Amino acid sequence: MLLTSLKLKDFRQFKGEQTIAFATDKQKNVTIILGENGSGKTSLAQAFTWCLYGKTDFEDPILLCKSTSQAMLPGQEESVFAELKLTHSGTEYTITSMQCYKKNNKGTQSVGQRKFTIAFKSKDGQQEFIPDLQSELRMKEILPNELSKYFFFDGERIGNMSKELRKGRSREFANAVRSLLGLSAFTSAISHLKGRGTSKSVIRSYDGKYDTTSDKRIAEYTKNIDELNSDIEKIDDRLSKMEGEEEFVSEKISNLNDSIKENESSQKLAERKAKLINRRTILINRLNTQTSDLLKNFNKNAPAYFAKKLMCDSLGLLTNNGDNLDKGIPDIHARTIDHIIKVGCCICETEVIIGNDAFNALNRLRDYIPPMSLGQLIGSFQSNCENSVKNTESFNNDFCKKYSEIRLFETDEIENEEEIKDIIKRLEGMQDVGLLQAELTKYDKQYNDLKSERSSLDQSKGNKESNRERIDSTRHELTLKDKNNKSIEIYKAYAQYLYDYLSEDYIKEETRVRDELNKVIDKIFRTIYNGGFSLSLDENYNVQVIVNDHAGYNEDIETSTAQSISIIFAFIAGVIQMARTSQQPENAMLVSEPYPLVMDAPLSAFDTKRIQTVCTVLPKVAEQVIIFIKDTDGDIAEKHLKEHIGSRAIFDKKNEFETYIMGRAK
Amino acid sequence: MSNYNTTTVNDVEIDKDKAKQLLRWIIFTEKNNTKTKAKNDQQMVAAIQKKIEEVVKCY
Repeated sequence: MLLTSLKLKDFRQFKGEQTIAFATDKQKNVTIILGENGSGKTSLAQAFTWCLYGKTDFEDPILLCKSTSQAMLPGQEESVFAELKLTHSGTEYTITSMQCYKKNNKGTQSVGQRKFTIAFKSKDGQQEFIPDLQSELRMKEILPNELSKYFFFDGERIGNMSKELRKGRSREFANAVRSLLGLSAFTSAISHLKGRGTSKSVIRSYDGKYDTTSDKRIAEYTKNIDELNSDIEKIDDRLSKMEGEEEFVSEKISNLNDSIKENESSQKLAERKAKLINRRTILINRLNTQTSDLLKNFNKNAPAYFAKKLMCDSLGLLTNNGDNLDKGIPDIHARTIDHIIKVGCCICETEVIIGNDAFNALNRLRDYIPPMSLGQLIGSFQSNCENSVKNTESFNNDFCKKYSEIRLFETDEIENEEEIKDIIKRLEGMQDVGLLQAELTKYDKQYNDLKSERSSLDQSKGNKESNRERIDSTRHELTLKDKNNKSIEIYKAYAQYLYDYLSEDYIKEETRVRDELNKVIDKIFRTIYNGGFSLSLDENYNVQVIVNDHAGYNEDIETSTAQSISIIFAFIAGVIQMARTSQQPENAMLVSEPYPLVMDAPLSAFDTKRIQTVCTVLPKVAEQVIIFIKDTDGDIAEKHLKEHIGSRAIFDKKNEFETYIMGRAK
Repeated sequence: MSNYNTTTVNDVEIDKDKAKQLLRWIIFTEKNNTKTKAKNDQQMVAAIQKKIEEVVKCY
């Protein structure tokens, strides 16, 4: 696959129609596109993936150029398109993605569906279109989406890609790599000879060709075999779907186990937090009770305590002058005075008239006789004072004791609160192990369910297969007795022989190609990253990093950023190199294509030494390299790639919404 | 009559030379079709069937 040109119309900041042609010369196979930050390097790189697969990494789903969008009038319609011209397997393709945008009368924009078309130039030079329903399939054959990100990649996200490569990929990924390595002719031949289940294949087609007039049982057996094939196909489909489910569940279980391990301390912290919260309640209750007791005691005894001195002074005064104070006349009541005043004459016959001396003397006497008997009051006051003073003796001690208890509770409560806050802070970045555990239990159950379902399906499939074999064998005995049917059996036997032969050969060839890829990837890795590591591929094309200098240490190891970057480059370069090798005549059964590399900011993650290595390796390995780099990296790229550069372009950024692609001289 | 260049599949004698001829043809055809996509799966199945019948009948 060689990219010839890319035409964009109003795609993001590329206003209007703009075209860029790529270098396709075998020697000068590098296209360098320079651009300042924010000028559209990533947008252009994303234009490839949008054109081919309808996918971008932009947060804003609106692809229409903002400048064009702003100028749209109500009711006006505009379109965004990306048209990529490429050559694949000797055929010239024009792949187009188009999306319409319409502004309604209220000024709101509606976005249409992406329209995807693939046109190709037929042998007679006429342009033909792949039917719409087959377009996605043909795109998959040209370059599967699963692998596209390795050919159209963003240097800034290369670390994540390396992790993905090492983490374990799906069967689909392995199949896509196999296809790129040229093994698809093998798989097609095998599938055409004997496809799975009821799908059309040479062997299955012969089943429907038996002459059933010779023996009616042949038709019955064929019907039984068809039914069994259909059942087996359903089981196979389910088993195939389950692979994805099992992979997903296993990954979840593994991630949850890792998270639980990482967050184990959070469980202890959460337990401690619960205890502290419980203690906080107890402390607050005790504090409230103690404070209430203190206040009760204060309210009851504080007035007396504070009046103690006054009371003591009064008691002293009363003790010293008690006799003087008591001037009462025994058995005389205020009512006696009232009577004397009323009759106007005392018992001593002194005249009592309001205001005279006798009247005044009698009234003064009221203060000392009942009901206002001062002596009694004083006696009662003395007694009360004595009691109160007695009670206040322990008040101070009691109060101080209670208060210090309260202070202790307060200190405890403050410390308790601080510890709770500290735990909450520590727990902030951690996950709740309880929740993780519940999640893990859920996935464990799902995994076990899948396991038992698989076991039951395997058993059922086995039964059906042996049943089919038995019926097939019985039918075989019958068909061999008839001349017409016998010839069908002969054709079938040949097809079976070819199928077995190719299947066996495929396994050998796939192993050989994988081993070869392993060597190539490892060699490139060692060229880029000259450390004491090597790369190894497992049967699913997962990459593992092995330490060379430690004999017997075969575990995959954690990698640094430089290693991660080198792994991804080595993998991409290795697959591309192998794809080229498979074109050579000695690889009779391999069919593949050279592939381009489209890289956005690939050098940003490398140091100077590795930039030089990568710049030397990639143009030799890949058929075509298209590289988007910062204007500041222009000199270094020119320096290391100069003899390979076939085309240069630069982004002319007019403003945030408009960039134009310009050709550039050296 | 069996000879050193035959094998048996499902009680049917297979001539390995014929099989080799068929394999070469299938490999060539599948490789070409992978590139050109001229035939769909059903057409390829029919073409392989036809070729097997031709080759096996010839001998």
